[in-house]
Amino acid sequence: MDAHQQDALPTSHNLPNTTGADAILQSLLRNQVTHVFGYPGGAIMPVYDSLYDFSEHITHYLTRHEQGAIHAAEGYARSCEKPGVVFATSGPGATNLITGLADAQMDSVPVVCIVGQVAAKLLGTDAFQETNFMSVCAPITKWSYQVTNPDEVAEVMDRAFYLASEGRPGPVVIEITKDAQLAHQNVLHTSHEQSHQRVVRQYTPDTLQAVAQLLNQSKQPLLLCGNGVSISGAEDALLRFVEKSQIPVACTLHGLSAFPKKHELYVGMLGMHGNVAPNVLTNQADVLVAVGMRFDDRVTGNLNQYAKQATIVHIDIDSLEIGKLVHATYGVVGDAKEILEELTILVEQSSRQEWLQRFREIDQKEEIKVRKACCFPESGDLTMPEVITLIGKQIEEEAIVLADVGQHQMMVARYFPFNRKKGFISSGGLGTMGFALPAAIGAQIANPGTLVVSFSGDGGYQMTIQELATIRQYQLPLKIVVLNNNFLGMVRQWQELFHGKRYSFVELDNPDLTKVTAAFDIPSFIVSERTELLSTVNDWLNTSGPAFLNVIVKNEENVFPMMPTGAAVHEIRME
Amino acid sequence: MKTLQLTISNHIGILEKLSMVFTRNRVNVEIVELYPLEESDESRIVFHFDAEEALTQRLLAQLLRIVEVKSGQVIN
Repeated sequence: MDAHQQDALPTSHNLPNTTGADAILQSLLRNQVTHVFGYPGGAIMPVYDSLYDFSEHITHYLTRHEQGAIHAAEGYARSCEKPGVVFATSGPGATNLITGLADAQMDSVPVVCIVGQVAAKLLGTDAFQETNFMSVCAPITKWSYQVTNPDEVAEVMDRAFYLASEGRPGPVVIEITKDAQLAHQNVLHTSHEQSHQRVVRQYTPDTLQAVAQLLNQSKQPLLLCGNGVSISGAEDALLRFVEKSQIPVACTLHGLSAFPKKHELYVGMLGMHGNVAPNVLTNQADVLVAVGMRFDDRVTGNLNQYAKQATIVHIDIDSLEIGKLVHATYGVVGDAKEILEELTILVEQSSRQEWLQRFREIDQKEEIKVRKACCFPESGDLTMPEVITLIGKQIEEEAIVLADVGQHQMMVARYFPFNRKKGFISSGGLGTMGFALPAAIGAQIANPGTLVVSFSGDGGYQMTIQELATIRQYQLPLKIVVLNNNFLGMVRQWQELFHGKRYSFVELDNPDLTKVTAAFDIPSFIVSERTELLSTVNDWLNTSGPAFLNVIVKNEENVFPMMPTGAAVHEIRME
Repeated sequence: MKTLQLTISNHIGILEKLSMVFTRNRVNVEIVELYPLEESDESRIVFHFDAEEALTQRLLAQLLRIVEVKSGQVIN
């Protein structure tokens, strides 16, 4: 906050009789917070009362459920450089945040949640809307702290913002008792201390030299680009590094928008529903350079048969990820951007056309066996890949794309031509159905001039559908699309392939989602015919303000390629 | 039997966080000792458990990542 902003603050809040609630709002300003997502309630009312005075500086978005608020905060944080902030009350307000906290923890998203709590004297008495939330959220937060003294607020809040973003980001919960919100401070907080600052850099120049030498001698290296590349803002550094070293790049789900899909060195997505070439050739590469990824089981398949032939270089800011699942010969702990920049200086200009050709040959088989049929069918029902491909083609500007969880998520990951850094947001680690719609709200608020497109399935859409009211209230110009197959498609696919087609509770008898959405005053379109797809997509995209597109797609469509559970990466199936 | 000693910042929920690290590594804690430090908001907490040396070091590394843990060491 600059001096001008400081002067503009409500004057009463700079006086020694500042309450704990005022101190929270002041802390938000000090930490450059301009947007908050939340839902008021009894135990957080003093904070909301104080917010009333700060409304010129902080815009609050009232969601329709606390889960919506925290997913919106995640979408906000993941699409810009700032942590997302959430307000919620005690008891059910706090427990409604749980899924979002776990989601943010798994996907390393900086979120600061400020939750109310009953007065300190009532703690442990089973008071109305009391939950021992600190214990509940302990394993799914990076840090959680209960404030019972208003004098603690400023220091704790500064620490919360620091911890949420430093090193490997994550969610932080600050719980403040109602009496601490109401009580006046005795101590004025004046400085912005970072007493616990930790520098994460655990490697030496010798290590980088050794890695560079390894890469210079390597004939068949492969770089695995993960979420950490985006978090670090290392996209350009990665590009310069691989263009010099000519190392092919494969992305994890979260790494997808960190490297241009059109680049000649991009060889595809890793993992269970990724591309065949990078999965198969993982087990033929002589060196794997993993950057900001954690060897998730969806990426590695059977660990006992994963890249046993390769020397592994693992670059990550979290030292505990090194060697957690896959033995790394070189563990380089630090910021991906810094490390890649240093490595770029050390590696030699190379050419690896023969190795790249191997990827292209395998990819050609996938093109013929998988992509051609599902992206460009000539008859039958609409398919998810053809809809996603067409929408991708019609969008010419830079867009932020969100995908919910399930079959459509994998299809979007595979077929959408992401064209923006931090341009793909999805729930990868926790796999939270219902994530996309509220997260899109946050992404749109963080990027008001940018096109934000949210893909959901019919199952996930109905999990957080109440947030349409938030979209309506703030007239957020989101473009929402549901790929509607009246099934919980991914579970159905597994029941078909691995449970003898015994479909157990996966069929959804849905309401008319077009009518439901239209009831929120959001212009809504429906399409089921191929001949009408292009014009309907254009009408939907050209609608000013929010718009909804309900696409009726093939009921029983499977996502291929697929790596069955327990299979090795090279055993990925195309059918 | 291994003994791991931590100095922690007292805070509601901290014991759950520490226990979770053992649970996630499938290590059964046999004895927990807790010693509040005078004139401080810190405590010394001692865990006794059975584990291989490598796993013990891993546990220590994971525990040291928890913000409230100020220091830690394997005693024997």
